[in-house]
Amino acid sequence: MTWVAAFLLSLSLVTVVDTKSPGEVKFVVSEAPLGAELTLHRTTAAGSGNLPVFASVLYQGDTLTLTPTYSLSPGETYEARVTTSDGKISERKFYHHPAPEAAAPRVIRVLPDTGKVPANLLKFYLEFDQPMREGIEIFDKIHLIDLATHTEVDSPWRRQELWSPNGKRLTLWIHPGRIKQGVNLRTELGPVLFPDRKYELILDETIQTPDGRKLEKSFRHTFETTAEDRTLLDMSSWEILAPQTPRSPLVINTKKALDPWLATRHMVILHHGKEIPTTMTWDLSQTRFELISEQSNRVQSATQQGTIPSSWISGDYSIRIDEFLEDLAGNTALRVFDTDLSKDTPPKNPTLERDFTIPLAP
Amino acid sequence: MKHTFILLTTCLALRLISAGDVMTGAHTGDIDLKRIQVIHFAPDGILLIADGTTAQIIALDTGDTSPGSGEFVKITGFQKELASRLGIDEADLEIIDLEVNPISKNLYVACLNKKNSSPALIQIKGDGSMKPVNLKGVKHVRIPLPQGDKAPVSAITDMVWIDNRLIASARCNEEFASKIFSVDGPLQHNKTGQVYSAETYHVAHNKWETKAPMSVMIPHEENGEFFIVGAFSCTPVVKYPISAIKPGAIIKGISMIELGSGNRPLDMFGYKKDGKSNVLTNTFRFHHEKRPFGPSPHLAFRFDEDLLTAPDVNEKAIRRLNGNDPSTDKIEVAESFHGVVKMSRYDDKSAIALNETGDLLAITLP
Repeated sequence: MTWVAAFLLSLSLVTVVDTKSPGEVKFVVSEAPLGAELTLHRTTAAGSGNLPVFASVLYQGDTLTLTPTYSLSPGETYEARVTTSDGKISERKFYHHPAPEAAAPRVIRVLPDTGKVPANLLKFYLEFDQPMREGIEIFDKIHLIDLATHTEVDSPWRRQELWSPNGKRLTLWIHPGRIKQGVNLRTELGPVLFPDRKYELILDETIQTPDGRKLEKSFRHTFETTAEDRTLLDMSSWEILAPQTPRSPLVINTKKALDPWLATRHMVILHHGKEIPTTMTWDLSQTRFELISEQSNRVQSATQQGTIPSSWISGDYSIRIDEFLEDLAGNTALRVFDTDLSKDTPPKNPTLERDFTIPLAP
Repeated sequence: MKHTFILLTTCLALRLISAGDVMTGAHTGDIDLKRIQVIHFAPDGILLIADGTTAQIIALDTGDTSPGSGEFVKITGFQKELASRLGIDEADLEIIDLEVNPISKNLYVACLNKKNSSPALIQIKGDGSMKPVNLKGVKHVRIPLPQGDKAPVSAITDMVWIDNRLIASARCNEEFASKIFSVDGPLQHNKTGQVYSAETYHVAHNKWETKAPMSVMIPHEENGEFFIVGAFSCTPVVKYPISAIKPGAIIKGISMIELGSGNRPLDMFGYKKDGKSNVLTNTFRFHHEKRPFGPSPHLAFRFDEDLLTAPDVNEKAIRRLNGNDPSTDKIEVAESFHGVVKMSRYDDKSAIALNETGDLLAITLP
């Protein structure tokens, strides 16, 4: 056995077998009495009174092999139990399923981290350094404090869990019903955020990983609000700074803070009509985006020759956005978040693409 | 003009759609799921399992096609019992969805083991016995969800099988938007479908808008035309003509009913009783403490299905309440469903429900 930490409490015919697959363990009884049954039970402080866990049992002569249907939980102790045909427990074996040693989880950052946000801010991104425990109760562990009154804002979140596939990022929506004008929720409860105030977002230290490791301490994120923003994204105002060397970044100043995770998907660079793979980073203001080309290019000049990985080459380019790119309040280049489609007409000629040139020295 | 309408319960869909139409060229192998977000039965015992985390919908041939009927026994402390069978505490278990197989009447329960972030799919028989649904070496097709740069689907909120196609309400992690995913039957292994944007008229605030994802939906037929009927938070009930779901289209919903603000729909289904077609939807009322509609934030509404064919729509759509008083006897709070967290139609007489105390039981339909 390579990693299974099993221990015997009594001499027993039951053995624990490592299946080489993390989380999967088999329990084998040899020379089992005729008609005996093998079951597995999780033990708790109250004892081994739990029902048998779902498992398949293979009978081969007097050998029984039990395989749990679902992975055993880390840090739990289980009892493999042999019961004879007359209902008596003839063997017990306890097995502790090890929990990996790991540090307490940390909050890496909360976005937006711009210091000031419009009072109709739509969402936060909470980013952790490891996969976190899912479950709707997390919304009870995230608090919004109005620092003007030192009171907690009531029911600010849309309680729908949206985790990134790796479980490290939670998209936390401020309830849209309290952002949209004329909606009953906003009428009855008021908006979540008011302009020109200071707030603190608090993540309780009880937020935990699936195996129960909690944050070292609560995480606090302070921000101020400005007036609500119900204006379209205006790409025509963006400043585009071409890279000065093949490996330096293309810099785009969007003037208005954008949702950076949407920008990674909905802001693309084209060269001869073909999308260039890029890596995007952004600064705390979420208005300055730096894009490094991930394209390898062949270069033939007096000073350089060959293929340069991750490089820009001279030429004409364009930057393109689409209707999904949003600012912090969910406004796009085509519609403000709080749109009445029957009245508000989309702009006739919205700018969705800008041309620029990269004039690298030969 | 006289309207005829049919709520397409899965039983009825079985009669309208031949079994072979659901999937073709099924693959036999193991199914790898990271999460289960919703389950739904297509005809012929085919269980649709949505897992947005791995960007797939699985159509599993359960082979569970022997007709069943009879009583479904109450399982007191079901949630605790299921947690014990999974080797965890009740607090580590989240029941995600319930779905009765309309043929066998066995109940399928999708859940999450929060302790190790893994899903489980369990079959419960009417006598209360439970067993895991086998996902190894089984006949299935995998439908990948589109992950293109523009419209990645990361979550499925509900699914229906209608007009020989699978339709799912979808959303992505970062966008608060209404998307509809559609794939034509017969389903084929590794063949995906299309994602469409939907626009909806929200009765509660008299606006057309795009920024609201659908929570639950059911199939519906009216004068020979197929619709899906969806419910949203706060709580408009909206129908979308299936014929509008075609390439390049923005699908416009027609708002028919407004059940009241402060509610989030959880499940919905249609049934017939005393010759009348009804729809039952249960919701979580996040407004409960401020303005309760009953003893529990979990409550259900029954409405006459013919409201879905009413001439008054969108801004004129019928509202459940006029001030604090009921505006019509065609919509009512289903008191016997107070405290129901999850539910699935068993037959035209009852639903199987999970209540707030973790019991599983059959409740007579209103």
